[in-house]
Amino acid sequence: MSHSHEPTTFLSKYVFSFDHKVIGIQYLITALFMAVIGGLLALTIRYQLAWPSENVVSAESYLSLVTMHGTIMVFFVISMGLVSGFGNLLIPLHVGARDMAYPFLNMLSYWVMVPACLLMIGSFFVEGGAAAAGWTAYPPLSALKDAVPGSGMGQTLWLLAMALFIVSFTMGSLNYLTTILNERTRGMSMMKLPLLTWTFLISAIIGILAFPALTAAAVMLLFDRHAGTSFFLPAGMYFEGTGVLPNMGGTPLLFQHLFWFLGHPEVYVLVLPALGITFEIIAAFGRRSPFGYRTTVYSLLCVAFLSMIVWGHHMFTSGMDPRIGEYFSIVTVMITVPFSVIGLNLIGSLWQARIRAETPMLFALGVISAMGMGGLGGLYLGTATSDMYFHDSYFVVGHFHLTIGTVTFLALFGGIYHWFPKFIGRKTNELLGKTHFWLTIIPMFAMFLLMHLQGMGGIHRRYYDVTQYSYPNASAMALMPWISYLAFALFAGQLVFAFNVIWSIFRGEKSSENPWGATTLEWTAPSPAPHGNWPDKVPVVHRDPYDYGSDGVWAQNVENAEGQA
Amino acid sequence: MTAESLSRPVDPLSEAELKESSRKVGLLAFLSSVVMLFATFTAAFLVRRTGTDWKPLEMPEIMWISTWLLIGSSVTIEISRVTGRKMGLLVTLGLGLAFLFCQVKALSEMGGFSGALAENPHFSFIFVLLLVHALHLLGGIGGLFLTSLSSSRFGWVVTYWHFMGLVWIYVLVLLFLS
Amino acid sequence: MTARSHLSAGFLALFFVLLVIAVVGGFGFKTWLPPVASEHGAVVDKVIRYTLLTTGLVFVVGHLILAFFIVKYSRDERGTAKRLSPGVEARWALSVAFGMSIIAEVGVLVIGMPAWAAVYGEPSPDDVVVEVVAQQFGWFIRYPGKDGKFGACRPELIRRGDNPLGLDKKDPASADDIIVEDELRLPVNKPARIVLRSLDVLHSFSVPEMRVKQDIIPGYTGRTRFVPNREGTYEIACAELCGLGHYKMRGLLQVMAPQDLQRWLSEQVPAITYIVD
Ligand code: HEM
Ligand SMILES: [Cu+2]
Ligand SMILES: [Cu+2]
Repeated sequence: MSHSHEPTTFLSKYVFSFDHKVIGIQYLITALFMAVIGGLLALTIRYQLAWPSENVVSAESYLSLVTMHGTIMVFFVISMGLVSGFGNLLIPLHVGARDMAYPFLNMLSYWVMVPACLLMIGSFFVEGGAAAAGWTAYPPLSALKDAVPGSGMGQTLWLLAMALFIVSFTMGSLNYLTTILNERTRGMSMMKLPLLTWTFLISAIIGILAFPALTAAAVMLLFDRHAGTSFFLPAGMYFEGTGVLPNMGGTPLLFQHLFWFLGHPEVYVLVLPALGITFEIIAAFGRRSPFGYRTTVYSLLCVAFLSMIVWGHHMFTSGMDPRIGEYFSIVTVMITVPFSVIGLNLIGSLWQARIRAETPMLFALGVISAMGMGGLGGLYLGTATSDMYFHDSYFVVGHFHLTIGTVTFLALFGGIYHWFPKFIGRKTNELLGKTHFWLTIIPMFAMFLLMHLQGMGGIHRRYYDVTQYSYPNASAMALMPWISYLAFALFAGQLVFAFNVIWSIFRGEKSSENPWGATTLEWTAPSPAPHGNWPDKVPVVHRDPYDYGSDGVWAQNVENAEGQA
Repeated sequence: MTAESLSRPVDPLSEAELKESSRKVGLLAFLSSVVMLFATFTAAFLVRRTGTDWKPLEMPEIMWISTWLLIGSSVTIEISRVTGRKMGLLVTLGLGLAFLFCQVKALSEMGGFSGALAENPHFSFIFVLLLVHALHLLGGIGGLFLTSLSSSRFGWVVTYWHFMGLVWIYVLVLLFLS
Repeated sequence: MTARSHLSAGFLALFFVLLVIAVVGGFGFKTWLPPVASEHGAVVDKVIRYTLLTTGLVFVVGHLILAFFIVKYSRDERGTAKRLSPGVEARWALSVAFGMSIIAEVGVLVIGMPAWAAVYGEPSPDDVVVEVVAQQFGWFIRYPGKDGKFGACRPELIRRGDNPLGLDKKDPASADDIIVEDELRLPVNKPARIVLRSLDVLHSFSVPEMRVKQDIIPGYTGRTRFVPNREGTYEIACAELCGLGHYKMRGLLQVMAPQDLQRWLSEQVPAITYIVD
């Protein structure tokens, strides 16, 4: 087995490591680093929005900031942190394997991600600045330097970085899928998998099937940009100074279809693992088996399927055929079905529980609330008729920040607190953790809920200076600076987290193998888990993942009531 | 994947067998990803073809040659696999390179990177699809090279090679015969 | 279970209760929407109110249960939960899913569909037809004139000073076309069919009070349709990122009495007279 040849040099142990845990931590650290960048970009955006007359940034830079903030947060923070980070850390431990199915590919996937990050960051410093066509990169704006300066070199680097990201993410997904389907230990049937691993499996499937659409779109966009083709560029575009462009009958809408064929499933790549983490934490700190394991699994599969056929809800107002729009509206709101089941199961899992409201649990409970609000907000946007009003308004910004921003970030933090003892061997500080929780949830909820109100008031998104118009509701406009204060407060509160993590790495209370008394397999390995995960034999599974019985709590590998493994 | 293996009633297989079966699962997943990639291009092609500026091109003669080369290479790799002789892989590799050469030639005959690429949308698709297919085939060529050097079994490369041959025929039909 | 854990649970429950109060107060007791000024807009608002009501109810009930469970089950020292049979759990799931899907589809189909059909339905011959052409970063408005036909436009003819849309003089339909910048005038209570074109990139024609938003795709002729039913001046905004000036691509929509519009139109000089050869 792979643990027999343990790496010895620094390079092979910490840098080019094949060990899924090291790679997972590399991903997590990189994601947190990118989160700082993405956060600083957000703060600058917020400053400009609240005090536009001060012009802290130019209009060019503003669009680049918005574009890069969105791209970095979606792909390089949440996808990378939740899926690549936690996925790597936990999948082999959860299924009872010593490592991923392809450790070398795994190492490679991280080292393809690093240049992707560097290219993304580097694109700020090229002529014309970073990409400025939004994270959605709709052509013609994203294809023509004449249209916006960021569509010069910046957009090329953006596309290349995204291509590397997709390559890396695909390698990762192949690993997760194969490991989960094929490398489970004895007794670990699919229906005994922890729910988090189920969500990783779904994410991997979506990653494998949906990302190619973006690859294809990116290739064609690159050709439109650099070889003069007209995949997405229509005839007769006129720019002052340049005149009429020579392109012929391409279709800009085609790009939007391809983008959202990936884009919508991608949001489930972000949200589902967050919900998986929440289920794990709630089981461990609620001391009961989650309500409806089976209905949750079926709902997840249902979400995965539906996610591939609803992309058009981002395009209700795009000018596509209105009958197709109505179809997309009908199936989109059907996503309520699996998600309401998941919501029911999350809340139901607290029924008759014995809740220990420690830090990870607080974050998990926060996720339930955020997912509820975010999901219900989605109904306003999924209903085509009301989306005519809400599309591209602050309502949308509030909505997706609650779901792919708040749900994911709360889960990311909760997960870090929950599994910190496993991978570092020490616990984080409870008091600091709880402080961090309150400093996070209050500004986050307030900020993004207020954005919904602004959207109702009619404020449009991606505006450099929102004061140009007088139609928006005056109270909605008055919220602008308050949201910015909340954003600054939120960012400041994260210092507590940074301090807690760094301090706990060195000074935290030493942790036992299973500090929370949880039941899934990772807690049967030593803390921190060694290379190969289990020093002797790989555990064999005899029980359901959450066996919190009335007569005791049993880890998955316990065979009989006497507690013998 | 059988129902049996999904429920894992028994010990996982020996390490070698496990590796082998994992390789199959991973390869299958990767090929699904490739299928989705070409499916996306197909959708784009079918949409774009309805444009008023569409000027269909004839298939250049040389693509028959490249097609036969690729079919031939599938035969040689199969012979190599059945007989277990690695020499056949090098022959396959050679045929693969010849195929790529013909593709480049076909593209440059049709106008190459010059004006034609921008002026005729059909040619834009031909160019991009040939390029994307060629890049995937290059992966296969790398795999052939490594497999022919190593002492291990044939692994993924045979399936992959056949698969890329099928994809080429699909691309050909899509571009010129549909 | 420590005392501190009780305390945290209590705080969190309290937080959720306060959240319920804040959200109900914020969304329920104040109208944030700009006052509606179109016929189908009233239906859009009805959909929004319906969704506010139903999702609000689900939100309140869900959060109160959440808060209640957090308090109740962090104090209780009883044994663990009874295991429910999968059948019972499935029945719960089905009922909740059924309820939610009814709520959602009623919004889409029963209440929302008529407005969607009004905006995208078949044009009628009495529609007032006006063309709105978007360009970085402004709007051109074109009226077809007496003949009711728009003259042909060709991008090669575009010249900023005198022929901003590239109007083709040779087309007889061009003769009486009227082009103005940034101000759209429509008669009140008459269906307006807006023909949408873009000269460069994507834009979106958005008039919040009309509850209208329609992206404009270069190379395509799009449309939207609404019946303004309140006279007044409204702002036109661009709702699709189109470049540096996106945020100030401001236009005006004046909804006026039909005879006023007629008078105004009769005072305009056809665009063709401005074109110098
Ligand atoms: C944590 C604090 C955050 C703040 C203060 C913040 C703030 C903002 C602001 C002000 C905008 C610009 C809205 C506009 O266009 O006017 C924005 C856009 C966006 N944000 Fe965030 N954000 C945060 C976190 C996140 C997270 C965690 C995500 C995660 C996935 C995210 C994803 C996005 C996306 C996708 C966009 C759209 C970019 C575009 O329009 O192209 N944000 N954010
Ligand atoms: Cu979506
Ligand atoms: Cu705009």
